[in-house]
Amino acid sequence: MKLLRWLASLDRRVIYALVLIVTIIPLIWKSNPPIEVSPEVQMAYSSLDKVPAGGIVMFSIDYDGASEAELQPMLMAMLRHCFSRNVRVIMTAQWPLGMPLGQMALDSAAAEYHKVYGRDFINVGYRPGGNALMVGLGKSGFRQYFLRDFRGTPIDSAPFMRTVHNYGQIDRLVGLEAGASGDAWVQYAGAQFGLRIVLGVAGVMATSMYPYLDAKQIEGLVGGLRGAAEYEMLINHPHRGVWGMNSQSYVHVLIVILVILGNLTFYFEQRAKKRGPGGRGQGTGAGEQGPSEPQTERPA
Amino acid sequence: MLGTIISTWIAATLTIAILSFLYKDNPLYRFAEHLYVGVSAAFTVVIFWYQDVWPLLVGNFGDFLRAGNKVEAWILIIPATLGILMWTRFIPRVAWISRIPLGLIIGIGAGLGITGTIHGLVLPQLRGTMLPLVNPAGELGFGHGVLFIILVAALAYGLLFRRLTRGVQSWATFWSILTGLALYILLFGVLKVGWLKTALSVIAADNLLIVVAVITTILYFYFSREHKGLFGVGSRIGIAAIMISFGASFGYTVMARVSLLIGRCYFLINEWVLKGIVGPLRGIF
Repeated sequence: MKLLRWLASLDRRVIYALVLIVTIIPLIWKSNPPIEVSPEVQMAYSSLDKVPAGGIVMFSIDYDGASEAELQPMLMAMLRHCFSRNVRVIMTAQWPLGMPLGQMALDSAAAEYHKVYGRDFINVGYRPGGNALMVGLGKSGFRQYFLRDFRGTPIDSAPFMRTVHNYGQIDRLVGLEAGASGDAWVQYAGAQFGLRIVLGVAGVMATSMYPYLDAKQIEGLVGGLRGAAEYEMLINHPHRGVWGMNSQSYVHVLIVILVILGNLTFYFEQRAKKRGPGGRGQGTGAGEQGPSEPQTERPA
Repeated sequence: MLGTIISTWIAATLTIAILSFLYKDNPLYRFAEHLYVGVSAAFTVVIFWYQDVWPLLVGNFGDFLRAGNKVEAWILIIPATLGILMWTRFIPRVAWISRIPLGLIIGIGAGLGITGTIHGLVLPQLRGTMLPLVNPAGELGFGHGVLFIILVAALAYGLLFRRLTRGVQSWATFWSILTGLALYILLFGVLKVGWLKTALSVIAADNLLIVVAVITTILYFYFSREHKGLFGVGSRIGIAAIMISFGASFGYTVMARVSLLIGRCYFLINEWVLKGIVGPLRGIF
């Protein structure tokens, strides 16, 4: 009971410190843990792998810095896959803060594969409009919305863009999503215009995307950092995703242990309370306070 | 090079400032928090102005006039006017005018939403749920195991453990599931009962689970009848399906939050410590 009492009164900062230590140590070693590729990521890879050399994949960057840790490794892996197969890339963004993240990834991947802006890829930047934009690109065409790229250069200065008029010339759309734009791409561009879509999503929303995969509305799903790691394994280029998986595994083990300990503590406290004040195992009372919240000292 | 080192140091300092909140609230955290909000807002405004408002409105106006497309040029006055009308919200006397562009946005949104939802979500998802319940391949999968455990657990719960545990639901559920799991391992893993395997493999278990989960979840959200009897049983299965879905979402959420911490730690170790501190020091010494 002493141990349980100590656990019940454990300072939350000790847990934070434990999580931090368990996260940092595996990152220093940078080993490649064994990673089994899930069917949905394999489907995403196969879908992009079927795009012929010279084909066009459009990337939609629908996230910002808050989801960078999960989606940027995914974007890098998919860009590497496309560039290694000489597939051309059009990048756009539904989130304004996603545009620079997308450009950073493009610059980095293009440098690795000696790709040239305008010849092999283009970034048409951010456009507002959401659903209306997605329908408009299919109906009215690209030039109604994107006459110039993000630098202000006419998009027709890129030779491969002269043949792109609407979704008909796009082989795949890769939506990297931290919000509702993924649903919109599937429901508007996919369902109404037959655009073939692969989604890469933040972990928090991955489960809500599985119905699209089951209904064959998307051709593949890459979920969270784990998905990014799997994709990196498929292209045989282990990087941030794979290196992060060791930390992820160890932190998960720590969380499971903490959950079990927390439940045991709660169970024995409840049992002690039921025995009454005269019982052997009187509760510490710490369990009544509920989970500890961060204590703010901000003035009202 | 120097610019990269300076920007890395700024990013690392701000990361540590934000993480310092885990110890306790402090002025450094608050500074970083406000800075993030301010910079994000400013960045969004700049992107909107230079990527959209200026090229699509002012730039296109000039381009169309130079190309002799006067109608296309002057038609841009309409969206520009509607955009300016939105700002009347800040003047209480004429704030009602902002309802005109808002009405237009809501109208377009609703129109697109209805067609998009029906054509892009409801119909494809209905098609996706109309699945064959017979398994032509005749192979056992993960779904078969789940189905077998659920069936055995349901029987054990109703016939045995509800009485044995004197109505303590949590223990009855626990022992029922454990019985299902033990029987599955015994019959399929140890004894390898052939006829049972053949009988179970006839069913397309994954499809059956999807169909049952969808129907029972919809039953749970049917409020025009009291959830009793067979209807109540269906509704309770629906709750179980929803809870499993919540559990999966929560698991993914934990993974996602840990990923964010990994992302920041990766940056601090590789970009800041190795490239921002160790790298320049190696250059000096």
